Amino acid sequence: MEVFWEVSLTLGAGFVTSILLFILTLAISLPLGLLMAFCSMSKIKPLRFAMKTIVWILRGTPLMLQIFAIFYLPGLLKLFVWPQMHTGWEWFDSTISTRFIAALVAFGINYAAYFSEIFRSGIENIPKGQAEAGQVLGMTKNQIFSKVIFMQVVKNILGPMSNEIITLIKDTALANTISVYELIFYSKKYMLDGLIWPVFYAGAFYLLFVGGLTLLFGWLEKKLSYYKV
Amino acid sequence: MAFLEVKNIRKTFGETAVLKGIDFTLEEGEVLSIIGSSGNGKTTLLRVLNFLERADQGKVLVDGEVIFDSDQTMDEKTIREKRLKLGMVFQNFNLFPQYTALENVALALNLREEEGLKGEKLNFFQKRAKRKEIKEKNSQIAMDILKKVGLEDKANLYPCALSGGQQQRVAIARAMALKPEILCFDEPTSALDPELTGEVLKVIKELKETSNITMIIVTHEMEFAKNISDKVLFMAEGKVEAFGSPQEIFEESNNPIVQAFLKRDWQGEQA
Repeated sequence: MEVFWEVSLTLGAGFVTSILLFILTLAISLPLGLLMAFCSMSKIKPLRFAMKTIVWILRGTPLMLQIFAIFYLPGLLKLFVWPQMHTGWEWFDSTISTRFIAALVAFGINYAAYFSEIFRSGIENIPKGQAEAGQVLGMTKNQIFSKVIFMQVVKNILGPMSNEIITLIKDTALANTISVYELIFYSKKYMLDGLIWPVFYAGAFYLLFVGGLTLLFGWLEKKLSYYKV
Repeated sequence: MAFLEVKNIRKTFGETAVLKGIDFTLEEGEVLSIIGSSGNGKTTLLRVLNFLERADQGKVLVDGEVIFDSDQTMDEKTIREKRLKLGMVFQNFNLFPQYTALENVALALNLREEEGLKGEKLNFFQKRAKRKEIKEKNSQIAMDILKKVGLEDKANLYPCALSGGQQQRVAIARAMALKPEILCFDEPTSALDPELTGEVLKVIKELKETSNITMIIVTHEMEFAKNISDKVLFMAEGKVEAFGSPQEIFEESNNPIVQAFLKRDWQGEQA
């Protein structure tokens, strides 16, 4: 029983890191994804092309590779290209590890790429007449987007978005590859010490969290069901 | 000088010339019906008048004021002001689905007045109070307009709970809320089931009788056009083929194209 408590506390602490990574990733990737969606729909051709290429690379290579790239690239640059480069601060590393930051940046831009495609299709699926109705009523572009289009997009993309967000919490496990002390990192540690059940126990954490997310999205969907797009 | 002057409007999409020099004038309070077969530029003409398309050439004046001139470039702010002289009712209603009928009518009014608040130096609470005040006032205005189209009892319903005819009546109320000088209708009954067109046409008719608003209606309802219009414009291949009173167009025209169209249409209606 004592072992169970110890494992629970350790895994719990790891899961707090996982959730933190999850929340901060969303905080970065949702607005960034919207921005990228606007870029990929831009009238400026080079910008559109650049954004499509970036999205292609981010969606076309493994997330784990991207985590490695972001974590190791500064060090490699320092070693071979730019010896004077500053790669981190010790106090900073001791409070929020640079490993965590590297993982966060990788997750942030990777998920922004996926979100941007969801936003783009969500926005493009709104009938043109909606924006035109706003225009003839003398609304500005910003007003049309924020007051007319946005809520309809939210409703449209709730399904694919909830899928992607549920995937994210499980993807945070990839951060253990650069030794971010998250849930899988700790359960793996137990496994290497010969204790196998904490790995399955860790699965229960994710399961419970995803259950909560599912309820949340179900509630949101119900809340938005008062109108049909 | 006429109230509305449309001068030599030309519009080309790629290789296709859709409008090949449209000229006409309209007096204040008159109702103009634009008729003609599909694909002859009627809708494009309305869209040009409402700044949804930019004409390649031409001029539009309302009450002597230039609202569009192809030789001038206007910034967005100017366009926003000028376009409010006209209102537009779409074929597919284009109501905002996430707002109630009342909110649909009041939204643009609220936004315009809230914009005015930006210049004033108010703290958060004052602003919130002001916003509430604006909202309440405009809800009242919107309610009065909804009454005019006979939908005060549906004010708090969302568009998905309204019939097509009711949706179009809300759309008319929404366009009226901004007090346009000229109200344009783009085939207002084409998307409706036959049994629902009557209520929309009735509302338009009442609008004509109770207000002095100038109207331009693109329509396929010949009987309606004949009854409501002061002027009828017949368009064919991007040009004004005939322009005159309903009497002149429907009864006395010896233009073979007009005659052919009307004949086909009557037969179509009877079939």
